[in-house]
Amino acid sequence: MKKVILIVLAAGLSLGVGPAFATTQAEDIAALKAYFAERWPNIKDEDMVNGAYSLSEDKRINWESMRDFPPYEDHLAIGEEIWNTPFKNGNTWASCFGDDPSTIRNRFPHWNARDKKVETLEGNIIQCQKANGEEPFKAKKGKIAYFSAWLASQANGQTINVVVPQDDPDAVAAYEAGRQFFYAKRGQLNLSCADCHVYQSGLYARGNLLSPARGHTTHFPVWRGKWARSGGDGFGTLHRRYGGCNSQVRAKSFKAHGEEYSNLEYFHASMSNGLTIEAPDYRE
Amino acid sequence: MKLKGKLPVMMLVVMAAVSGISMPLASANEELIAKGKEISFDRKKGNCLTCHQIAGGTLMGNIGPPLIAMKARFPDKAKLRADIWDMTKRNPHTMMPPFGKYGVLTDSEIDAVTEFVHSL
Amino acid sequence: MKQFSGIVLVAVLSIGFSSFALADEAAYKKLHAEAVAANDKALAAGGEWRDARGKKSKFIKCGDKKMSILHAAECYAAKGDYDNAIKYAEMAKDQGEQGYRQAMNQKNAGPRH
Ligand code: HEC
Repeated sequence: MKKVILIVLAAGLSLGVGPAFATTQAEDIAALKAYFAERWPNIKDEDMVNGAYSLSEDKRINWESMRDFPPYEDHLAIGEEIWNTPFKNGNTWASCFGDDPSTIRNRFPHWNARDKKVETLEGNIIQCQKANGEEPFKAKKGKIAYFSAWLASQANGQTINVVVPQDDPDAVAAYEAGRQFFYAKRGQLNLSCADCHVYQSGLYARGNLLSPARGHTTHFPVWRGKWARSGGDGFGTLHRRYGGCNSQVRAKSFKAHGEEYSNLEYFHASMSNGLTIEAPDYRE
Repeated sequence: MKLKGKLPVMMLVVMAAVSGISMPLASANEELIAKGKEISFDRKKGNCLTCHQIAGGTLMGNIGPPLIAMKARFPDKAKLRADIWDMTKRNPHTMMPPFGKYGVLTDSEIDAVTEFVHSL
Repeated sequence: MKQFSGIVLVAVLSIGFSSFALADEAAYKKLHAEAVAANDKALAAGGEWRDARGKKSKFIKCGDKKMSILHAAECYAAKGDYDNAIKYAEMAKDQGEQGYRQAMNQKNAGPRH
């Protein structure tokens, strides 16, 4: 009998211990900022929004010349047109997101306490279409990216502040699941997001300068030269990028706007709290 | 079953005999090194250049140390092979994929890569 | 008499070979089922790998097409090439098992900076 109690106790304990990292969102952000500040004392925190282009003069010059003639202006115009086009049932996007398009981007990602899940901008765009009987956009590129990019452009300069309500254990659990995802090695090549975008950021993998995770989400959707060359245009959402970064370590990628990537975004976007939205932007 | 089992063995013996005649040991090793280099540079195989500088490579990364003076760094070739096979054994946080353990390369491919890297 | 023993020999041989084929097919089917189970387990743990059975994977060649490892196993089995079918089913199973172990091993991953 004693033995049984002991076993039950041990099981209870091992469940209760939970994640080995009992740090809060605020502590995680502070630690990451301090880590990068120590590595690059000459780079100001606000310059982290420019990713690899703050770290390499060569890359920066190329990037600036691309930005002189942004390749995505026409697609932003399509995004605006989408905002102004009512659904077939007569409703508008405002019925889901409110009237002011400049207030939308920066509300995401957020915790939906009623449905107990993380909501993302693109996830809610699709949800809004379904609720209004519209054919939803494809999840990762095309119109969803144009529309999301235009909404983001309306929010430029606003300070990112992803909120994880500390008094809601489910919200904290979703954030922690995202953090675990970010730091877990995966795939046949056994690499974590953090391996490339924290510990080795600033170094080169082949010709790619690995960008630091702080500042990652400030400029999405991005126009990527590589995506533009692979057929279609260069726009892609954050979850498209997640899929690519999972796949290149030979891990199975997850569904865009599903639970895994939404939780990941919850954590990942938190790591840019305090920086400003600068979207869309060009990336190699 | 018996025939199936014996045939490959016989073929091996014949092949070994033939290759033994036609190429002395030294050049067999050179061939292995050349094969190892090919695998190391191949993006779909070893892809070592992603992280390491290697003489003769292009567009090389700098995540791992340059692969030079390997004989001095690894007097024991078996230790080098063990690291390539599964570096996580020595360092669970390593960036280096466990090429053998996770089957990125086959055992014979790892033999060739070890031979090549040890020659650097 | 000679002819007769020849016929017997052929008959014995062909029975022998076809029983090899049957044994191979059974071994393949068993491995295939194990590979599916191993990858289902990895998937449930969030640790499945890209090429084990991913629909978009272009990892192994069968005929003039490239596909995932498990799809290659199926492709070779359909051609009756059980050596390759077994080899790839085994590889897919191994990936599933490794992916699962990796996910378990990384369950408590977090910052170390
Ligand atoms: C093998 C290294 C590697 C791993 C592992 C990796 N990435 Fe990346 N990632 C890259 C490279 C290379 C780029 C392109 C150059 C850059 O911006 O860093 C990139 C780009 C990105 C970008 C775009 C950055 C920008 O400024 O537009 C994001 C976001 C990103 N990765 C997120 C992730 C996430 C999340 C994970 C984990 C699921 C991950 N990455 C895993 C190598 C990696």
